[in-house]
Amino acid sequence: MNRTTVIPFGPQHPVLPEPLHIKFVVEDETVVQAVPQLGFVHRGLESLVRTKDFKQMVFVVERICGICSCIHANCYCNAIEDMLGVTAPPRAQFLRVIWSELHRVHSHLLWLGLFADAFGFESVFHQFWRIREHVMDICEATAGNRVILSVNVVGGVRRDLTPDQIRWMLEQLNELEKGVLDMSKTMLQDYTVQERTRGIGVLSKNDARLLGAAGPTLRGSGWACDERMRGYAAYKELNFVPVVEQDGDCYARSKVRFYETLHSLELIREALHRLPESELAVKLPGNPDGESVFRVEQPRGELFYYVRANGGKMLERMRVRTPTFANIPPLLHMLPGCKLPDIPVIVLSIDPCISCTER
Amino acid sequence: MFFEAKPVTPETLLSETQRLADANYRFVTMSQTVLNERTLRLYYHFDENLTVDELRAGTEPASRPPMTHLRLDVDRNQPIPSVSSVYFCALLIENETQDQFGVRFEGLPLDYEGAMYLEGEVSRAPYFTMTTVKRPLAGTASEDKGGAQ
Amino acid sequence: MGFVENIIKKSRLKSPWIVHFDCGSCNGCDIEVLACLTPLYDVERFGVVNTGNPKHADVLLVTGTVNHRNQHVLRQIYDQMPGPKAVVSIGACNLSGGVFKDSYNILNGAHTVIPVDVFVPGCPPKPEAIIDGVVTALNVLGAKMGLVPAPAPARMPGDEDVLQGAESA
Repeated sequence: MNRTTVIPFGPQHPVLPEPLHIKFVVEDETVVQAVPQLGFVHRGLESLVRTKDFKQMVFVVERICGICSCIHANCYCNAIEDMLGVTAPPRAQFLRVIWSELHRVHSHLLWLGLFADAFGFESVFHQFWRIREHVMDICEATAGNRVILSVNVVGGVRRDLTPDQIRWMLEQLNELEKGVLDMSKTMLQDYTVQERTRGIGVLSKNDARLLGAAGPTLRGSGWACDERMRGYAAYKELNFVPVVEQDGDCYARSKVRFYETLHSLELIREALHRLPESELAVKLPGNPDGESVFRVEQPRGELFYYVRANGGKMLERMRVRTPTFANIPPLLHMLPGCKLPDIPVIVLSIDPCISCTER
Repeated sequence: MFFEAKPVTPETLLSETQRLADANYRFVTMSQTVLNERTLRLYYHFDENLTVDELRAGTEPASRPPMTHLRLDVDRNQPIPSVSSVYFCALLIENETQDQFGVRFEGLPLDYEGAMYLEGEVSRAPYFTMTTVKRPLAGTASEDKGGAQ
Repeated sequence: MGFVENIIKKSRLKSPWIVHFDCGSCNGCDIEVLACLTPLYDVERFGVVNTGNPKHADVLLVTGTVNHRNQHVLRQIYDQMPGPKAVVSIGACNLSGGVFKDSYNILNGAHTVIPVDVFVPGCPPKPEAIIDGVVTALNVLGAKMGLVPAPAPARMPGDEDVLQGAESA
């Protein structure tokens, strides 16, 4: 019996933390087509460049996404600094890496928890969120806020770490790493987890490129493509290698994120040990002029900023391409052919961040 | 970083894009900026991907070629050819451009008709001043907008 | 009859069920709302249950900017909730539009769409503040059931001085 039914999914749905609306055309239990409807989170913040000057915009771009706000600000500041022809001092570069990687760890732990919740493993969800509170504590102790750190300014950073804080952070990181390693057996070897994620939502290597996937979705399909390899901020001085998996299914993507969490902890530790002494910010030589693009690596993938200025205080145009925006076409490609109960697993496997996507 | 863009015309856009697609490029995104009251400038950004084998072979990541860019200046009243036949992922960004700049793309496989982000109540294209856009009214764009549960 | 009704009313207050709707937040407030449910803050020990279904809920938590598209969804979810109900508005964006106030697609806060009982300011507010907001909402809920005297009506933070000035003038 072949009858097609349309099932609306969202915008308010228990499995989705964010308002995304997808219409699924299903035939019995199999999805035939998925049509997204966006716009529930569209704030139009690119238009704010007309009313706020380029220094105030840092606070707006931080609020594009609360989960990776520090990295947004990092990218924006780098793009403006390029136009102004200044570079942030070495200590600021290292501090930017430390806070960015803290955000990556907290984002990945959050995702691992939500992903476990998507296939019904609620205790793992609670475990990951318990471990994650260590990161939130570090953020609060070093930057004064749990989620939106507001540490980046154009030309450098605003806050410093004292030797005491560094010592305390290293202790916290050890505990954090122990907690993450404790979860590795469940997340990577458990029979139930593998049954729910292996071979589900497969994205082949060539499709990943043609559909423009980014971040762990791209790296899970065998491409070694991580913006951190380009060595922006202090990454060129740290010992960074991208995490790559070949299978392209949900399991591969969760593995990429799991190992990236551990690698980020390593990077933070290395950066803390090698933190150079210098001032925190440089003086700006005037207003930006010209066009510039900059890319950094977010927890969800490659983040792209295009900025155009005309020498005034206000920018002329700013455009943000966020990783989830790039990952939605691969998602629409993965969904047809899957079974209805696998939808939450596949949707979450790209780590959707709708507030990033729609801005 | 500052960048150099290769100028293209609406006629050569598709062939240029196809050439890059054949050369294993990845479509990153498109940026739009308003030049004057009539002209919209579009940048198409592409990047090369790296495989694990290339990484092992010791390709120095920092020396990877920077992104490739195409530049297209269009009149806002003229339809723009869509590159989504080459790169399907261009569809979202082209729909977004329709929303925000009130221009038309030709040959979109999934066309929201300028109502991807914005409701019918917002009838002005936000980035071109002095424009009016016809959007489908709320309820006609999608019949089950509310759909809690 | 009154006895049974009273017991039902009191037990509703002892175990409030919550529905969380994210209008268009940057996720900062959402993850803090979610953090309230996780082991460190764990509101379930107070009987608070997060439900996905607005028809099961007593308290509505709203986060994020309200825009032209999601205001319809917000109003619908509010209408689906059975009365008496309380609404907690969380975060600067939800209170007034926050940093996005000047943008073309933004309405000035959830209180322009639905009646709001408790305002929790902050960008994002800490989980402790959110829990406090829910507890305040329970007082409002109790007052709506006639169990406790009604608390002073909530006002937008920042508007108090303006309103007081207007009243005394």
